Amino acid sequence: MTASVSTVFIVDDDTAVLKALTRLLRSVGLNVATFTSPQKFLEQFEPGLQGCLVLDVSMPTLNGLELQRGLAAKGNMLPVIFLTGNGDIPMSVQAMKQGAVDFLTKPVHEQDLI
Amino acid sequence: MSWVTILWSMLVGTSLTFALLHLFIGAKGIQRWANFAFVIAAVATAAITAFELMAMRATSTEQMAIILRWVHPPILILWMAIVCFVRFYFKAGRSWLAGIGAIVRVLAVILNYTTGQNLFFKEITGLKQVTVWGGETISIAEGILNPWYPTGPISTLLLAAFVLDAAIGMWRREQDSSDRRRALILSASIIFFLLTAVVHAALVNIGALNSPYLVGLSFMVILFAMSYELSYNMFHSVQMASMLQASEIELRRNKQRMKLAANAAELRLWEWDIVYDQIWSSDSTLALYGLDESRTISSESFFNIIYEEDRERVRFAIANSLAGNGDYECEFRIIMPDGHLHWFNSRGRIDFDDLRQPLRMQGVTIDITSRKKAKLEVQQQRNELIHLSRVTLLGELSGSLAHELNQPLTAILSNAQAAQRFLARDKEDLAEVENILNDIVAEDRRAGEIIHRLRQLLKKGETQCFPLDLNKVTKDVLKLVNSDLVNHNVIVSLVLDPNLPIVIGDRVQIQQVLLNLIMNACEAMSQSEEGKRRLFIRTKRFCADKVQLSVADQGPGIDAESRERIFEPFFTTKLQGMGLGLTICRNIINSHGGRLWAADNAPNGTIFYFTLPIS
Repeated sequence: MTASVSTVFIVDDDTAVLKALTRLLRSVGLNVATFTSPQKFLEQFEPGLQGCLVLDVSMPTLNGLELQRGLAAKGNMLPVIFLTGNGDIPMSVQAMKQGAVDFLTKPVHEQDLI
Repeated sequence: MSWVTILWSMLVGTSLTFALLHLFIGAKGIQRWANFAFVIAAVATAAITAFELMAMRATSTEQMAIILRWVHPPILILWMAIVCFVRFYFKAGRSWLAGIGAIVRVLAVILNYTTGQNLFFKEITGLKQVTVWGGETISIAEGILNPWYPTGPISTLLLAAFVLDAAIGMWRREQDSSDRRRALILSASIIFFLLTAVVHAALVNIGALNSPYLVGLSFMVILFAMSYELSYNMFHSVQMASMLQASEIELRRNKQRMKLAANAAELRLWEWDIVYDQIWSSDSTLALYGLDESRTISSESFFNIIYEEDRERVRFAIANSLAGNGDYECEFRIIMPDGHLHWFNSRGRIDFDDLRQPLRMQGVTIDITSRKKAKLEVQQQRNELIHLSRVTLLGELSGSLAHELNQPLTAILSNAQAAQRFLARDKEDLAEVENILNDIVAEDRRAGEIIHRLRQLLKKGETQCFPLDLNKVTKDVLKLVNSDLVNHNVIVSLVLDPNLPIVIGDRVQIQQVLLNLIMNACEAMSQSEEGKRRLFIRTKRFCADKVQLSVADQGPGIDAESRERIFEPFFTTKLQGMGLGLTICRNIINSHGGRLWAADNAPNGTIFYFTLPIS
């Protein structure tokens, strides 16, 4: 994982969602990197990356909030945006308390995401 | 008039009276030939008695000789009549004995006319005037005995032997005490008569006894015996008549009770004469069906009033009973005259003759419309409850379902928005737009499938059974609960038999059961350590005709006592919930012909098994 270019890192276990979000963000000229496995992303993460993180909340084995904590423990400074298809207030509060920049619900409009 | 004349006249009259009485009895068909034989014997005895009186009043030896000659034909007739009577009445007696006796008796009659003046005397030399009881004087013959005289007594002794033989034969044959009594009384009276008559006549003929011949008087013994039997039979008949009358009264009462009970239970009695194809029914049942109750109807007429859809079933049930053991039972509908459809349950039994040909079927029919309606209502309520349970279950999954639906919607929206941006560029990338549109279509289908699955589960309706692949059903359910499993950090371990046979079942209801078990398992493991929340789902062939699916969790488990109680209505180990989920699941599986039960998943957790019959 390189740190030279500002990149939107998207972590979601749904490949169709990853593909669609990638198209949308690239259509506005953003650089995108996608990961279907939150564990692999955490393993490969290095602090000092430029860009932002878009994390799905509901993922098997390691959900978005747990990933956020793991990244924070590794010294993550990237802003985190959560995407969820099943959001509720307690979850959003916890996410914000853990330092998330935004908590968006799916399906997400481009104005909100971009 | 002298008492001898009076007495002997009375004896003649008595014999003739009894003859007439038994003539009437025989004419009625009661032991006809025995009674006719007795009539002849009685008439012959009357004739013999008349000859006895004439002999006592004889005034010359020639007159006495003629009388004693012409008395033998009636003696022969009496002899033959006794043989016939014994044969017909006792239905016993050796024929050869009677035959020999008959030959000797006929010989005696022939000798009576061909030797001497008669069989008794070769020559009557004089008439003794003997004074008997009360100063009465009678004539008794005296003379030279006919050397052929013994033929008469011999034939009489042979007759007595025949009667004795017949009596012994009847005694041995009959076990009933009244039949044995009859044999004893009648045979004893006949033998007494014969021996008395022959011995007494011999003593008179040889001059050892100065007495009139007493054949007629001796015959009274037989008459007394016969009158005793007659009165016994009459008494017995009166008794039987009383018993019959009492039985008829009881039968009438029983019929009334049965009618009352049938009316109270609304049972309609019917009878079908199979030979003449006529159906009779009680208490205006035919009128109830809108038929003319004044006459019987044919089976075809009855079929025509049965609801069309049910006719074949009724015909099949009747055919089965005719070919089988004769038991018939069937339910059918009839559109009543008021237009309402009524349900009836009919049961019957066929009577067969000795050649196993059906003669008639008798049975009862009961209106079960209210019972059917109640059953239908229960079924409808059951379906409502199952549906409600399903909706409640899906309500608990609403979050997960929303997530599942939001995934394809997110892909569709993001793709569409990307496509708009691509098309807005100066240099349109149509190839990319085409790819985007293809992905949109695919994601739309994905969303549609989720909605379709949801609609199936939310749909209310009657059970519809079709061939099911239980493996596919399992996978579909797992797709539905995927988000929930993820949220609960539950890992699914799936072991599906690739050769699992197809089962028959209602897809929605089986999914409901599986959904319920999986949700329960997730809830059971909610307090377990993360990383130790594994859900094991397995399918396999259970036995020759069943498949099995098991759902095992690693939760705290259920104690042995509760493991069966959890299927009881309103029993729950959860903090929330009505305790109906597993009750309904068991109800669903049972209605499919399967079984649902729980077992311990040592070292921790519970396994739920259910089986379903193979298609």
